[in-house]
Amino acid sequence: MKTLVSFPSITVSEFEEACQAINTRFDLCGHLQNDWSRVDLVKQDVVHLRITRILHQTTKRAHSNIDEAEDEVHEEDEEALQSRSPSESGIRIEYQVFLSPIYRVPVLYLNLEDRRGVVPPTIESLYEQVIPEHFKAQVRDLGVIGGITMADHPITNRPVFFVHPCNTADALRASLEETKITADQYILLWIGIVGGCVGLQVPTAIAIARTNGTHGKSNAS
Amino acid sequence: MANPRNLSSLQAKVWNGSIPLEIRLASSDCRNYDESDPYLVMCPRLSYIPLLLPRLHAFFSPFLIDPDVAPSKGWLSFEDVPLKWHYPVGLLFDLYSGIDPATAPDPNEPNPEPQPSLSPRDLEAESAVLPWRLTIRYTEWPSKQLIKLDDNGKVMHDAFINSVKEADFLRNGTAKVVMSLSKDDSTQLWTSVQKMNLEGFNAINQKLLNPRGSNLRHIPIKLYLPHAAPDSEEGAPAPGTVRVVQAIVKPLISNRQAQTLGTALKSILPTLFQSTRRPMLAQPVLHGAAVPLSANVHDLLRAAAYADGWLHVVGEIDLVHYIDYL
Repeated sequence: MKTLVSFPSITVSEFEEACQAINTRFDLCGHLQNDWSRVDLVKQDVVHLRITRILHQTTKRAHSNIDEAEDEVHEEDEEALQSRSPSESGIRIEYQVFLSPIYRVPVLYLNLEDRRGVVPPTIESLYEQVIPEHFKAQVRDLGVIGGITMADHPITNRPVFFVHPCNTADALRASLEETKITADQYILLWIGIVGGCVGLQVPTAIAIARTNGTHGKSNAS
Repeated sequence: MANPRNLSSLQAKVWNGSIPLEIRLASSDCRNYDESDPYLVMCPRLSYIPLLLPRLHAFFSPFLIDPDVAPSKGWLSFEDVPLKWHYPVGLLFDLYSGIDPATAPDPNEPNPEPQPSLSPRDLEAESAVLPWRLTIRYTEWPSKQLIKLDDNGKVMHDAFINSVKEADFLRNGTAKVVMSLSKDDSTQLWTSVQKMNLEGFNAINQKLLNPRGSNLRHIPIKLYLPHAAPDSEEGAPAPGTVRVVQAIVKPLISNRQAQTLGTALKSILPTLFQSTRRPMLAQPVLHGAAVPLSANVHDLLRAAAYADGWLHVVGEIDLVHYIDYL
């Protein structure tokens, strides 16, 4: 696999390669974890990556019937996770990774949907349900610039949550001594840096997935 | 490069541009059986809806069913299309009003007949649209279309500064120039937009446009296509959905050849702007005027950028030609 030509920026074709890499990792090892419920490589107008998680609110509701229903869903049954059956509870978070045409780094948009209609898709809900405790102060302090804000979605032009990218390039640069990095390694690193504050991380099973090209085997191709 | 004096006089014209608005309170929010009086205002094209909200609230509060509602809960719509408050008012008008843009006489036409600035037909069309009739509501915020505002104006201010930063990043390849502005400078930039004070604005904007030791790298330009929403997974797009297209646009296309609006648009959306010389299927509209494709984009940026540093260009589709093309 080739290394990026202008790290910490990423080109359109490198970005597509990076999205494809995550998609391949999920296809290979998605069944070994239950944090991400699905990954889609979307090619509508511009290529982007969509990662879906279902949040289970086990901490907030102690031992209710809902909990039992959730435990069933926890089983590695992808159909159950993806279906819209009324028995399914929990909040669905859809992370969408686009290439910023301005900053030329990946940017993260996210949607929050509670199928029971209990949790409204507001920034308050985001703080309550999605942002990990130890990130809350950091995200708030940075305020709207550099933190989480609302912005129009690049395709639908409707308001969605947006993790502001202005510090991304510096953070990527600071986290690597080596600047020779493949698109696949880049996107894993990027999710590690940007995703954490909104509860997106690469599940171990997916991070260690042995995909073609990630371990220097691509020379054969 | 055009004469700097011409560019500043054009910039002054752009800043003086305004649109007559007639704003009515939605009857569902009005306590009177009869409608309230409309609020009439000449609104600068470069201004933003949230800057009007305090005056609108003061005017409409005697008529409101809930007089305690915050000014920031107000939202405007045109023919049931909620208006995005972070778009400048002039951009909203160019997107939705349906009025034909002003056009210059064709320079290829020798000795054009002297014409009055507006023909009777134009005047008639204009009076059908102007004043631009908008509706304000204080209930049922359309959260699927509009980002919520806060009471102290921070959300609006941050959206503006964010847009300024994006433009700065494109021009210089870093956001360091705007980040290095002093607190006072950065405050002055926003206050001068609030007050539409061009002199105060240019004092700061000149620092942004001419940073030491940095050449212009890219032109901040966005193309807005009304009625061109993609199919969404949630079914048909909401009325008034706009598609926004961006691409990297350099000031020069080769060592000696400047980027024109025509070459830029062709690179952004070749299916709609097939020719770099003549508008075929769509024409670019900026500040209510059809812009010649031969315009140098760097000149445009200096003379006709919006206050956030962007060229927000509406691609007005010529339906007759477009249908032929299909």
